[in-house]
Amino acid sequence: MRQSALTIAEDWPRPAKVLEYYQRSIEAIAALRQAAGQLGPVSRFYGMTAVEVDQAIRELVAELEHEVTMMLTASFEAALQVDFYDRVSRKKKDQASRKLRQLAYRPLKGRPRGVRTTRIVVEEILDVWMEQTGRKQLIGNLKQLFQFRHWLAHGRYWVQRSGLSNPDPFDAWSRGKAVFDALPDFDSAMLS
Amino acid sequence: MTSKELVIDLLRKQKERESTAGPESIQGRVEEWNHSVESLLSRIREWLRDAEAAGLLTVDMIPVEVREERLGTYQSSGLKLSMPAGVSVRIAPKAREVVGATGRVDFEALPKKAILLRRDGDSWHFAESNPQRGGWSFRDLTEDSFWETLRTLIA
Repeated sequence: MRQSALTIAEDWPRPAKVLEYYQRSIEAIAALRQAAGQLGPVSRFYGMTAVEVDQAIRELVAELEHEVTMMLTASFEAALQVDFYDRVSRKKKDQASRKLRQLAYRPLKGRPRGVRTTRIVVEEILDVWMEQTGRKQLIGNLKQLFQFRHWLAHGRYWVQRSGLSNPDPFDAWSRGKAVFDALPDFDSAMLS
Repeated sequence: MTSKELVIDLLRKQKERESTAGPESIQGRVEEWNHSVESLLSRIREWLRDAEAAGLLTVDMIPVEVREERLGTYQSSGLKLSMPAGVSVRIAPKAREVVGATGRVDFEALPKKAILLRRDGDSWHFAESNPQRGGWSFRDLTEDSFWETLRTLIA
């Protein structure tokens, strides 16, 4: 008997929510920068020169961009996984759905036949989409972003070789959006 | 041919293709991009001319080094706008190879940033973050949109 592998949460942070967080954070940092001259002795910025404040702000923005890029990419993964789960569950007859079902139910050592894999690695889902849409460049661009995300998420302890030098949230969004636009019947409401 | 010979042959052909001067070669793409950036910067300087003449801001050309995965490292130019209150705006090319566009120039006024994209030939558009609509929307670069962007950055 086939069984459901995981339960999709009703709510998960959509890319739009992550971008809203980014915008609000930039606004907050801008307000901090304006107010830096008036901060009292309890502030971490107290006593800093203007150049030091700018350097501290620059570091805050750089970290924020890493953090948002990571969360945005995670949110793209969620959208791809939810879309995958939906296509597998609906048992549609189109070629892409068939291939995704094959991926979900592929035989693995130690797992009874007909039981879905608990979670498919996002790169494998992208491989199916690459084959089905023929959009190698677009999907390759997003896979690069996932490599960069892994580097961020695992603590940046290795030399990063995704090929991306310093993607910011806009770069990340462009890479994700281009792929979602190319997927047939993708529910774009998942992005906002 | 062995696999090694096939790879070497492929690399040799790629190198030959890239070293040929033309719009598709790396050098050709960098030159075309730099030319487009210079033309953009001239437009911006023109829009700023009155404010500069009135002594309200200074505009300086700055050298910019750009690193890109496919194009390597190359030299380009940007502008630095300095305002009386000590705020400065850096307008500089970020990359030629951009997903969904053919170039990107960033306007940076710490910590804020505006993104200008080149799309459809030599047409420039600001990418405006619009989370409610699921991401970014685009606005043509005009003198009005330029001043509005500048206002948002320095406010």
